[in-house]
Amino acid sequence: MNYLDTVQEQETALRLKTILVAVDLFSHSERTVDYALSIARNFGASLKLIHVYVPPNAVEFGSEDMYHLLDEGRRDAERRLTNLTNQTRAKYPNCQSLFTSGEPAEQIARAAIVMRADLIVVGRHHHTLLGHFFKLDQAPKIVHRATCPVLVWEDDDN
Amino acid sequence: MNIRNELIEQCEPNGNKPVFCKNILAPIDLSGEAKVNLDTAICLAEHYDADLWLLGFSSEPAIGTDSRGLCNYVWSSWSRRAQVRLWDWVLETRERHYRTFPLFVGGRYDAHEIIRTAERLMADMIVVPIEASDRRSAGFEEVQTNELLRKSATPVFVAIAPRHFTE
Repeated sequence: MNYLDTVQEQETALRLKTILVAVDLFSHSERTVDYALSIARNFGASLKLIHVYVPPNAVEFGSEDMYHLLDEGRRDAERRLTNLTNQTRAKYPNCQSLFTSGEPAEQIARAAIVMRADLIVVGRHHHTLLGHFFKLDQAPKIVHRATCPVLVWEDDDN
Repeated sequence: MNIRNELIEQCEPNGNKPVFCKNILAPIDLSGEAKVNLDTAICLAEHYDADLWLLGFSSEPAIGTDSRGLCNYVWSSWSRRAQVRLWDWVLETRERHYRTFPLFVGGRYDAHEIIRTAERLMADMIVVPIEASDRRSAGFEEVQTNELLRKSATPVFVAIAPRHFTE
């Protein structure tokens, strides 16, 4: 390695242009977004909030009423994401949101590729035995599917 | 703390607390000969003007418990070799980020030890370097990384595919 290579190697810098924040729209999500926001501010990055709606399995056997109920649930989630995005935009204008449905880890990893995200921020709060049993904790799954760095942040009250 | 961070701290609107990073912990496995990618940890430490702590793990040699004096000799020799490797890493890293310090653990890569050390150190972030291709094959380390992701109260930065990080 010559001198020029060494200098170039030393000049590499952390470059975060797009930060994707995975939110599940529970009460903890605001804190996760705030944490990601301060990183975005520090790096001058754009913030993209993503929520993946998981349709319940019962939809296959449901009646028309059930469909309406599920549709209402989906619209409610979409509304809450819009509210959270508006709240965040008031603090940091460079913020957008994305609402999708499917398997959360897979959709988040895919969105990160499409948006060319440099970092995915995930809040972790389902670390109880029950949460583990129902596989509510998506962080390890996201890490295994992501092609960019993932920052897992404990956003619990404790 | 550099001037930029101080300004950000002072000018933070809407009561949002800025993320502080004073101590960054980067666990590295000293057992293998493979080069550990510390780029992300170094870049983060540089950006936040933080102290970077390299936590070195090394699998202990399998020694029979009844070998008495020989056991001690082999263990201390192995321990010294591992610590020399750790210092090599520290000195190499110091060429890019001067405030890099070593921490040595005489055992194999363990999530609970990382969590304990992070708490003792009051680390603001744990940076785990993972190569994208290694994620499926790294059996034991993968289990430990998952454990770390599930249990650590300190934010865990999983550094995958460093191509996005450097220009």
